[in-house]
Amino acid sequence: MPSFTLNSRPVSVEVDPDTPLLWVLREQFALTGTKFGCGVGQCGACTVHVEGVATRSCITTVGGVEGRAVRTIEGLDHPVQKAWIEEQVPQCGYCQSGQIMAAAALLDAHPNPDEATVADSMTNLCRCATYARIKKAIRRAADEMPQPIAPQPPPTSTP
Amino acid sequence: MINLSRRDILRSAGGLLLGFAFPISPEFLEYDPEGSPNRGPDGEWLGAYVCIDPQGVVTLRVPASEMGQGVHTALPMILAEELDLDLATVRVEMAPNSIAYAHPSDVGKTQLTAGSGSVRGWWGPMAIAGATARAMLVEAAAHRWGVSVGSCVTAGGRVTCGEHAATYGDLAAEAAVLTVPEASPKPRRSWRLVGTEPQRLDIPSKTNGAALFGIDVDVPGAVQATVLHSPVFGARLVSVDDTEARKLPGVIDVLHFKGSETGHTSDFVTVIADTFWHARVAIVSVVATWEGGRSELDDATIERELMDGLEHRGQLCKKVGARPPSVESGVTYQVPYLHHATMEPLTCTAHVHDDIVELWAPTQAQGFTERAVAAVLGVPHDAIVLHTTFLGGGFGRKSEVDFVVEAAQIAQAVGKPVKVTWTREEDFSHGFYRPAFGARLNGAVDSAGRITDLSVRLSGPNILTRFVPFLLDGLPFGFFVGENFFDLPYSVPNQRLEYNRLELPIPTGFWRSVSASHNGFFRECFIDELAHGAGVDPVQFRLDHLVDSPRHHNLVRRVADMADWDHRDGRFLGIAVVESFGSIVAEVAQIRVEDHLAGAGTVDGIVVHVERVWVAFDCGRCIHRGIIAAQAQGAVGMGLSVAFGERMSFSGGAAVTPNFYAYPVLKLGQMPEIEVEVIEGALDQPGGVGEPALPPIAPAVCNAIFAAIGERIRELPIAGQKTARGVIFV
Ligand code: FES
Ligand code: FES
Repeated sequence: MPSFTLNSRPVSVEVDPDTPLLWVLREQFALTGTKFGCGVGQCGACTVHVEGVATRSCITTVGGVEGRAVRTIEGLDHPVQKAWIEEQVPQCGYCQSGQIMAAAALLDAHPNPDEATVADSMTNLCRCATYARIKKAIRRAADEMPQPIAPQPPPTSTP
Repeated sequence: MINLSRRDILRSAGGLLLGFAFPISPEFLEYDPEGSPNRGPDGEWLGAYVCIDPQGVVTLRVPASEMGQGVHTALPMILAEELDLDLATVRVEMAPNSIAYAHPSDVGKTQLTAGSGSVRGWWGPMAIAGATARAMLVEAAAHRWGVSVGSCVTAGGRVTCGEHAATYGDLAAEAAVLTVPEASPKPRRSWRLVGTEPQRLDIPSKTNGAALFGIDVDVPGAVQATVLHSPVFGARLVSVDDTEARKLPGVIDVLHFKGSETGHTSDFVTVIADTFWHARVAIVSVVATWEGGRSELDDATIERELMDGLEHRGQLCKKVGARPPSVESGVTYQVPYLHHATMEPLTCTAHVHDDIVELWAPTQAQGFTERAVAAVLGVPHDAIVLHTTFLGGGFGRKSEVDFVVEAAQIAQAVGKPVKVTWTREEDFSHGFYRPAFGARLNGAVDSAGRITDLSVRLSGPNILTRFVPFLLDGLPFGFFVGENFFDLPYSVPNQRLEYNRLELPIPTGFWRSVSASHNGFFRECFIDELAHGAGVDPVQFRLDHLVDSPRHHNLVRRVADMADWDHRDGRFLGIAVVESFGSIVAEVAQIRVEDHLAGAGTVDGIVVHVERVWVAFDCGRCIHRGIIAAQAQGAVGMGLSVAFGERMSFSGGAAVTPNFYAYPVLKLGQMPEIEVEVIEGALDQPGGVGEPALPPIAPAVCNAIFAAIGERIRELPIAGQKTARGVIFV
């Protein structure tokens, strides 16, 4: 019986360990914020965090997250969500749980990503093409998030 | 339009409930719009769209489906404007299926969200509903206080007059017994909300997983199902071997259905299981045998038929001037079949119980769906209770009824609630695709740089064939085939337009921007060809020919200024302007071309990057600028996706594009910077918003490619086209 941590709570579920995590979340736990888009790892609608890493749950088996920490959109409380509202990102909204999970994981790993890093990590599809506002929202969230203190170069001159 | 004499308070149960009855088509005459509400526990709502309850909660029933276009914010804004409410306090509900919520246009009389038509159709009725409710609340307050109506003021859900104050909720019951007055909407100068950009009402729930899409519906006791159709279009089911499938975990039943005599569905097999996953695993083990269809049909035969259609004279659709030229020596353009690829696959939950058919579906077409389900199941119209959820994208695919009718058929057979979810593979292989089209164009320009002749021959399927085969010959030509040529904005003295209709077994349907998605490409690229032939700048050439189309003229000028067209300084720009659904959009694309390296320093082609896009969007009266800008950006993104790489492939009579890995949808890294200017043009009516920004992007990009490499791209998608410098990559 696969056991893991789901949105900070320990859970176990009676299901074949080969079942995709996506369907266990949606059908056994009724967490329908995580979406089915393609089932083959192509679209990212099913993105969740496994140990904080953005993971496509349609191609991740529930047995594969044994003992690990899984977070879904329902368990997320992250500055990107506020930025998503401020920038008015969603249109139909279907891909947005996955986009937000991907963006949150990106910013947690790279609090101040440059454009190329954003483009490389944000590969989820949005048929409504909300990408322009996704980029702005990621920028806004990055600006509002606490940045790690970088070592300052010694001052070369005093103004 | 709205018939004021039939305006009616439908029911006042302690609160104020306002609705309008519309003149309806003969087909619905069995329904009496002025009779008593006749449906279910919610019946008292029938036809109403504004309800003010005694607690002061104002609920708006929006008749149109929300699929991302923002209609569940735009229409409430119009109501909130007239009622002097804070938008955030309006409760929005999706209206149930009812002829009372039929789109108030002159044609169709069906509840349908399509054709960029919701705000265009509903803004008038919504404004009158709001103004009427406000007038009645004010009158109730004036009576109560013994003051004149003119001395009362409304704001923030309250009526005040001097020291008197009352909330709308407090006044609702008294307002409801008054005679409905003739109220007129606010003059434009008094607007404080319409034309601004408040936050969309549906967005918070779309950032925390709470928004309910069709695929999320959870009816207690529901079983799960998935479906399998014949891979080959038009084939019939001959036999099913479900022995292996039935042995698999969770499988409850395997059923198969004959296509409905009404033509709404084709033969299909379904596996019913305890979970979707179990159904999905088991359906792979079903061995179904199909027979028929046109198995020789593939990409090459389709292209051959399209090209054949360009070789001989077609139905003459338009002829202007004395000597319309022949197309024979013209140039040939071509576009492929496209899939909608909504991010939410097709899905519907159905339950047949207590003499009703209850449905939960992400549908654009409540009216068509109600009729189709009633016809196929053999039940009366008013037995159909349809709950519309949010749509995870629609783009026209969800204006079809197939996925809902099938769910209803399955539910009738199993006698329990059932949720049917399509696999992405079924979704791709059983679409109603944007048809492939070919065009041959010929033209002539005189020594003064004026187009004298333009002749066009189109070849492709007509999406209306499926809906109104008997009408085809009598239809005013231009409907969903000839737009943008039929109504040419450019002044051209001699014009000829012909059409050869192809009969192919591939289902086609309405796809975001419909015929403008191909004709915009053909026309705007060809105008560029003529400009080049005449040695005139493409912007100037358009301006010269748009003197009689001032809205177009203005937009071309504007977008050229935005892009600083006159100072290109080595930037490669292309322009296009296309009108559709009551709006006009001009776009300029800026591209960069690089060598594509095959490795080891050899160059095997070029890479086209679209860096920036400027959009000038004239959509008449503007309700919400932010939503318009978002729709413009999204439509440019989708249009770019199509221009770059989308193409459905066919082989053996079947669609053989299985999933996104073979159908490259644009990604964030390919999205250019897009600057949108919403221009409130001369029109006092709102124009369409969801579709019109899509058609200009493909021709703008292809014209920019010509500017960069001096070669014309006359076929989409761009990826894979051959140039003197090798193949194009995107
Ligand atoms: S559903 Fe998982 S990547 Fe598409
Ligand atoms: S918002 Fe519709 S798919 Fe992304």
